[in-house]
Amino acid sequence: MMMKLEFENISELRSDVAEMLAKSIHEWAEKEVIPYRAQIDDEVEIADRALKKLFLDIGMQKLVVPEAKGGAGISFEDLPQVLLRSFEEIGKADAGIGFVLSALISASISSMGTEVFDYLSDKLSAGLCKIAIFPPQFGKSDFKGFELAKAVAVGDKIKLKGFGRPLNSGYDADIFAVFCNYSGISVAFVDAENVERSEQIKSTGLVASKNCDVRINAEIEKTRILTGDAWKKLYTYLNLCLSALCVGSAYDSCRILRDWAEKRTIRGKPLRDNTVDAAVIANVIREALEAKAVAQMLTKIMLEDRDDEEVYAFSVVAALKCSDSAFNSADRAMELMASQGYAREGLLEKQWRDAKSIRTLLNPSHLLLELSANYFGSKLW
Amino acid sequence: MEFARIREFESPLERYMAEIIRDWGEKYVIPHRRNFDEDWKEHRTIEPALEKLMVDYGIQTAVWPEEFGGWGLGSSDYFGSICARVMEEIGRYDTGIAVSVGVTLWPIFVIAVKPHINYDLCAEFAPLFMRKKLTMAANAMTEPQGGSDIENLDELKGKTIRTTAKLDGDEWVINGHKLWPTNSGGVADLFGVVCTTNPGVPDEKNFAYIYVPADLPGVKQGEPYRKAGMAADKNSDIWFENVRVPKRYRAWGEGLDAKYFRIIISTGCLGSAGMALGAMENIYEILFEKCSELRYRGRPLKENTAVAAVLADIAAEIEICRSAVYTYARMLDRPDYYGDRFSAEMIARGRALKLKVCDACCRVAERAMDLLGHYGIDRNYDVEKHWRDVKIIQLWMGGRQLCQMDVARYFYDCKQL
Repeated sequence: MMMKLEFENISELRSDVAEMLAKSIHEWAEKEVIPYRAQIDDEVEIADRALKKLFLDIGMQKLVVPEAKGGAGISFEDLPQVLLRSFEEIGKADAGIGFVLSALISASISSMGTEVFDYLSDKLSAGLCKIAIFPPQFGKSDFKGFELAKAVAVGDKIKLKGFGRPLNSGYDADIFAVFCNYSGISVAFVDAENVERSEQIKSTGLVASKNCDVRINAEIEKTRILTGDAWKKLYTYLNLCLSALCVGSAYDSCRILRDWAEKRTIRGKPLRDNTVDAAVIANVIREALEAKAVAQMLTKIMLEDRDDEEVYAFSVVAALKCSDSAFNSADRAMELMASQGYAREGLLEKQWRDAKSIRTLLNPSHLLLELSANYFGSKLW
Repeated sequence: MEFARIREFESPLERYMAEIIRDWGEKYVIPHRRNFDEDWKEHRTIEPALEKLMVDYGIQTAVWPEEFGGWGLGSSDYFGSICARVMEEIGRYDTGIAVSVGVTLWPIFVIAVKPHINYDLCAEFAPLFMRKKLTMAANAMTEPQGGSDIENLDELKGKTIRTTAKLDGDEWVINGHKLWPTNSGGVADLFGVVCTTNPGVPDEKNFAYIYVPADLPGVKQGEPYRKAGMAADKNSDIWFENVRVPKRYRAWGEGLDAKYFRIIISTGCLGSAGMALGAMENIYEILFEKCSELRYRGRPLKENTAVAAVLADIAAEIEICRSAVYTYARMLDRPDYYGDRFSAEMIARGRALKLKVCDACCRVAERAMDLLGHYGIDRNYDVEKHWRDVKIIQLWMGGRQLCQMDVARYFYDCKQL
């Protein structure tokens, strides 16, 4: 008997809210994404339309916005499992849309309990909104080997300057969450009108995330800046969202491979009954299950009363592992499907490009050094 | 910086061809390469580059014997080395163009490479390639159901081939459906078609390799597929419906077709490894430049030990792969030492080479992207294009699994795989 590919989350991570939302996202995917997925890279309006429906009609954009402002007002206690389930479902449909949402959600969560949150809540309630994360850039070495945007206090305001490439959506974001060197490491929220954009860059995947280089030259209120460990919270939630997104992507690769393998025979018997092919298939599902296990563990850790630093460090491990798994699932599935996996119409190659893009954007070479610093006390910076 | 090139293996013609390909690549590929992906269907920028190389630089005539106007590469004692070099140099610029060129030469190998030169068929088809007009060929091999089983001759002996060739008087009547040949989708002027004369019967005598001009009645080609990469390589379905060709268009005849067809496997493995090697070298060149420019931890990216370690791994892969590619190429050049190019031994060695070099190439491209962070996925940095393109090199010709089985069968004397 064939087991189902889906593997439910452990019981303590299930919640009615999470399941209800996951169901809505599943229906959204079936209607807005899956029928058009082969064209999504060429017809940008498909991703735009689907993203808008997910952000506004389903309300993912306002997940943490208070109910009084028209949001869902999901609390910290419910957030991790809601994000886990939601992003799993989005990952099965389109990782690019999920990537843009990951940035928005992690930036909004990192501001909860501050004046920035009020500003963001108003923006997120007013209509479609995208938030681009402007992380530390290649350049000088003022933050863990990277360069932060420069922030200088002038009276009640802060002058902000920076140049580089956002993680996502630089070309069409409404707000930029800019990592800057104000009072240590801070995150400043800048309206798009203070940002000069280059031409849109062409990328490997994640087509919903329209990116470009940006020049930031802004003067903002001090109330628009998050200090302390807020940046760490932002990355922790971003890592959770991306981990879950990658779980969904890995499962979708499994599904695509399973559907294809069912019809495929080789040497007179089903392909999946040949041991060499069965071993590859097994590795594809193994990657998905491993990613699922790690993403769930991160979710559970985030629900416990733990040291923020510890949670952040584990979130890095989870994002690295899950993005590895999403890529490996697609890559090994393609190994069997060959030209049919490589062709756009097969849908696998989109997961393959998107998963690789997420992994590359995580900057694994740097994250490994961070882990060495976190767990072994390496003095690298 | 130059990776290992064994000078004793290098022929004067190979060096000359490398020079002209570099000249061509810099002038006709690099200025347009970043737009190739958008040009996958129309080939508005790709075709002029191909035409320049094939017609003006003369590559389409290279394999044919000199008496028919060709360069006589098929009779050269450096046949393998030159093929590898041509694929490496073109692959440095674009592996899609490399495969398009390689596959044009491929079907010709069966009839124009010593010791099996079919002068009658050379006289028939060489003039097509001597025209001052872009002329391409394709190898119609893979089928919808059997996939790459067709290449698995030693085990299946053509049992799974469904494209049939029936003799009707002095003509072969061909019926069947082929999938995904390079240079299909309206590109090729001539197909080498793998057929069976007795479907379902595992006997190499039934294996027929028949040349089919693309403009004959009954040859139908589908629209090209959209793919992850390899824009310069058009692929589509091809249907042969009661296509009639003269009896003499069969390459050699019973038993010999299967025998000499195997040169397609050994040279296909060599060509794949050669173009993958070229792609790796270009990735190295890009990394050299970008890792010198981008700064991390206060110094150029390449001056950080963690990054340098990855760069070293990449250089080591290229260094070893180049040695392996040219060692195998030279072995193909010396059948007196190493056996025929179509022998099981040389095919197994070729499969091992393809398996190893293609894996290395995919890994190099992946790691290069990771090193560059968000520039790794930027199409202006070119590394990601190589990453998308080279994946299919690993997958074609039966992919990793068929390579593994051929290697295991030969090196471990497996009888029941």
